[in-house]
Amino acid sequence: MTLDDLIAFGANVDEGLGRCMNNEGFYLRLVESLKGEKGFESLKAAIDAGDLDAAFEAAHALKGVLGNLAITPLFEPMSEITELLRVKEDADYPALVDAIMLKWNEFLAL
Amino acid sequence: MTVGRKATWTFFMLGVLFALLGAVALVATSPDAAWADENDSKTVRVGYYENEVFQEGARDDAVKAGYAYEYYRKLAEYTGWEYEYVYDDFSTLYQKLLDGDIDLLAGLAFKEDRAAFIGYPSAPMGNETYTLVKHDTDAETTINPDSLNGKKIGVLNSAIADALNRYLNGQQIAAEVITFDDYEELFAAFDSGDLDVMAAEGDGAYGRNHAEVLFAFGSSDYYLCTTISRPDLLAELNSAQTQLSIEEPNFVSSLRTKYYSSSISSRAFSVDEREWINTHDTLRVGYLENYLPYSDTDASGHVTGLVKDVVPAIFNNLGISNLNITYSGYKSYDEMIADVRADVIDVAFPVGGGLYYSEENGIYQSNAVVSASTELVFKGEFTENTTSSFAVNENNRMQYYYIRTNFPDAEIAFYPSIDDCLHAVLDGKVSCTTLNGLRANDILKNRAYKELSMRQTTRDDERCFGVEIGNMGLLKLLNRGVNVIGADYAQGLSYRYTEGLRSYSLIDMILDNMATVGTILFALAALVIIFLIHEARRRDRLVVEKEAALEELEAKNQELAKGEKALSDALVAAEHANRAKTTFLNNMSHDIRTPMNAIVGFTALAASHIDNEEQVKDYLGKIAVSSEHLLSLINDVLDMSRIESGKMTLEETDVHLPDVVHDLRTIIQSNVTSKQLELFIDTQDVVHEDIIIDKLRLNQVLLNLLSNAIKFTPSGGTISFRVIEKPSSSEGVANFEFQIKDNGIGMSEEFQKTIFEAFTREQTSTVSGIQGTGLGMAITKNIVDMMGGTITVVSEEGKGSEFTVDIPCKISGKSAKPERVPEFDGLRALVADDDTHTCLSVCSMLREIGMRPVWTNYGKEAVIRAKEAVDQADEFNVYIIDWLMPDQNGIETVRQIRKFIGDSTPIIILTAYDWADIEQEAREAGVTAFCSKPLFMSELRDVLAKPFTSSVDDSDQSVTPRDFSGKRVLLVEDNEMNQMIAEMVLKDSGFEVEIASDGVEAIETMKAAPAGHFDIILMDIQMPRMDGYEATRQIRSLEDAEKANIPIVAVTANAFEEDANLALSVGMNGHLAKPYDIPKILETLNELIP
Repeated sequence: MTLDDLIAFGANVDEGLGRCMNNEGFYLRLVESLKGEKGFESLKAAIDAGDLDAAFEAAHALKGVLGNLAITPLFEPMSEITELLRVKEDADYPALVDAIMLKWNEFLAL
Repeated sequence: MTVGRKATWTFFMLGVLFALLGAVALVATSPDAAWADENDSKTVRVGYYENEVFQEGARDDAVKAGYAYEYYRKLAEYTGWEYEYVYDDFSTLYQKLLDGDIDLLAGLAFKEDRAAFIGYPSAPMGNETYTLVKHDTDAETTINPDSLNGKKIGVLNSAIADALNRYLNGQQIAAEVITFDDYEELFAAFDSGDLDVMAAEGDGAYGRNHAEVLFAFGSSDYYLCTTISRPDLLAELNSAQTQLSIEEPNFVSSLRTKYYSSSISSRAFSVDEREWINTHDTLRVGYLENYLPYSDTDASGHVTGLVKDVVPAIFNNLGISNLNITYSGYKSYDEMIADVRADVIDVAFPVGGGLYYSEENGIYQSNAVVSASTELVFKGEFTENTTSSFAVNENNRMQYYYIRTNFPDAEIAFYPSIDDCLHAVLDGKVSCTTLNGLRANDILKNRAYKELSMRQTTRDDERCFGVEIGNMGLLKLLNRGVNVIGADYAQGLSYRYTEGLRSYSLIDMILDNMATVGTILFALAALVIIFLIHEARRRDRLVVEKEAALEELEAKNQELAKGEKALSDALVAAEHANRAKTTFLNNMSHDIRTPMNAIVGFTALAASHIDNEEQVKDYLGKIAVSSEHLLSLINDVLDMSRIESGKMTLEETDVHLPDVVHDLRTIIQSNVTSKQLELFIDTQDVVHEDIIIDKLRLNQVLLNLLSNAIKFTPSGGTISFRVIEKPSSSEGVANFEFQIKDNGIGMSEEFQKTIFEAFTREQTSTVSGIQGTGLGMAITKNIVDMMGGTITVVSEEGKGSEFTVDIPCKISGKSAKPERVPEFDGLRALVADDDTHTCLSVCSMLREIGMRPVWTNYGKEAVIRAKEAVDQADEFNVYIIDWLMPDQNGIETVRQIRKFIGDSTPIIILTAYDWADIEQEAREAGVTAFCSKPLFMSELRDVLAKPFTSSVDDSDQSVTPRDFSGKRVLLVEDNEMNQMIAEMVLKDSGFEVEIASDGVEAIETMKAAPAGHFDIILMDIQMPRMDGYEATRQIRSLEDAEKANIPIVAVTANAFEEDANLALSVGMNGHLAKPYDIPKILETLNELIP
């Protein structure tokens, strides 16, 4: 994975790099390690099971990481679902999660 | 008092376990037919474990003694058993009993589940009383069982626990029962104050001076048990016990008296006893004269007899040494009793004659000091008629009572003294009289009574102390004391005083021994000479010894006196503190009960409407409100107690006053809005914005006053908060005055006088409809006092209140001196705000930096003035406009002004609200910048500097990066990746970073690290196990003040205002949002780390 791949994916690489003191190697290592993140599966499982509390926890944790690494295409829908889950709003969660999972698989393929 | 108790109770639980094991053993063991043979004597194996008083000498060569041992011996008289003692500890022996390796084991309580494995005889071998014991300093727990409600009661996990639960259920007491596996732990918990009350055996105090017996709550029998495999032994045991109870009915109780009577000697005084001790420094003893060995007045007019030994001995043994004992002698028993009732004396001695007459006389009779037989004294042969008439000493009513009770048909003749009685018998006027057993022998030795005989009666007559009915404290003390000194004490001393009963004259002797008189006289003379020589030598030696002893005694006495004084001083202090605490607790109870009742009530309602979701939600909401109120009350109480115990200290740090004021505004804003109140905040003459003060406490004071203002002002009302800097005479100190004014319900004049005292509220919460703890103002006042400030209130009922807090503050390093800024010199400014105070305050600041301001209260007027200025070619160079003005809001005003002024002139919106929602609209309307109310000088300069120096928003302009080398951060964050990023950022700025993965770990790390190790904590909020709020709360309450006051910054993905408020309310110093905004992080760290 390169910075260009990430830019093509839509990540705000400048922001992410800035947070890593412009250390490209460090930033890429962190982003790479994100691929091992189990939280997405947990989020999907929780939504499938209808457990909104567990879903919120998972989404909230992911939101923090994605935000810090500035993976915008994943961060934005994650923020949205987190805020919905926080107040347990009546929303089409499975659809939201499916959209996230689509992006996630795209990310995994980078 | 012995500490060792029967070990049985400790092992009840073990017992249950063993019982199960025993069941297995049982299958393998069948009754041994050989044992069933009836022999004259058989050997029985007794499990013998060492236990003080109960069973001693558990070794082959040791002398055996104790309650159980005597019981075995007595049984042997009925069964013919011979014993083989098997020594071991209790639990091992218990196992052996189950296995059939021993036959008997003593001291087991009855448990139903155990009855299948052990042979229980039908009668117990003894009985144990269970008692509740409290701390002597605890005035709240009394002998009223209801006072146990809500208490923590510790009990051994044993039969006592069952008895305790039965008792508590029976009395419907809701107490927290905590069980312990052994006495050590139980005692430790009680001693450390973790327990309010302890349930224990006997008097339960076990020699604890700080313990006080409440009352007995139950008892339990314990048994001598046989192994289940020996039904023959069980049958013999049953029949022996039955025989024993028929032939010696008192055996068990006398055994108990013998071995356990001393248990009431504990120094744990009951409430009555303590009350008596506390209210008396003198004990007035009345005694009967002419009644040796009990009591008499000697030739020099002093008291003599047992009474003068027994009374001091009792009080010394009880540890009451500072009691001044006075004695008065009485010729007549009746007069003595009358004086007890008239409160001329506290106690009479001796009294006797039985309970009936003591009731008739209106006195309590104590336990017997001496129980002696009564002797019938008569002349000649004893016949049926001997007891037909009695001579009775009219001054000794005890004798009369005794005779009336035991010889109801006898005729009675009164005489003025016992001598007259005896003479009456001699002269045949009456057939007999009586003498107390301790007196009879010696009195009758008088030659005059040579012809009288005596005969013991069957009933003993007791000689006791008498106190007035109702004086329970003294009675109990005396009873306890009598038991402590023991039954033999008085009897043992009596010989000292019986000499006096016998006037054995020389003539008597000569008459008695005419034949030997000559020899004796000679021998006597020789003896006297030898004796005199010897005595003279001995005396010399004695004098020296005695003097030395005397000196030593005096030294000891002085030591004692000193100790006593110290003790009594301590007692007075403790009592005072105790009273204060009682008042406090009384006041508290109502306040705690009110929300508690609501919680309990609504919980019950919710339970009964569990299917109606709406209703349950409503109830839960009410429960939550009450819970919060209760919590705030408890927090207040804790604060108050910290203040009262002097544990609250001020942690003074550099504080930027505008931060404090803006934070306060943020916190109260939502309440103000939701209650539709109007809030005005402004400053006046504030020059020194950087001061040194305890920020947390200052916040607490102001927040409390502001919350009260909000609370006590009805909707539509107005609250104003002004910060004024007053001139100060001393260098380096700024005098700040905070005025908090409302037009709410106000206070009566009476209430204003007590408002700053703990637990006051104008009306009860039910009347006013307003909840509160009543502690807030007392805490506020205390904090202000600690800061060296003053707080005053002016109020009128129905009109409102105004609180004024004046606090002198040290000024920290940099001072914001009003400096004219050349760029602004002579420039014009227009200020529009509907609050005149704000206008004046802002204008005065503008003038200070050299500008020429004008102001107006109206948006429309501002537009007109702006246009006019343009027309006059004297344009304003800056506009400061309030967002919310009644006639026309700020944004609209700006939009209209912008129409005829250029884009370059800065327009600043002044607002008391969060402007995030209106920012876009405002920018579009032409607003250059925002400022929050109240406006401080430094903020004004900053905001003015921006548009003048550069038109671009300069927030990206980073400060020169600071090197934080040597500073250490504790990063509390559960996500590994976030940890890595944060660590990297922080290390890049020179920080050393340590990581904790959640709140629990953070607290452990803080506890383990030396104070000052960390400079700051970055705290994630949402974490597993323990979140950041709770972790902060706990860190803030660490004992080490330096650790507790470490700066803590919340780092959270919830960037909402309410989260920021919550973070501040738990004592965090700042709030950062995720994803990390690195310049913001560094800026915050820069602010918080000195």
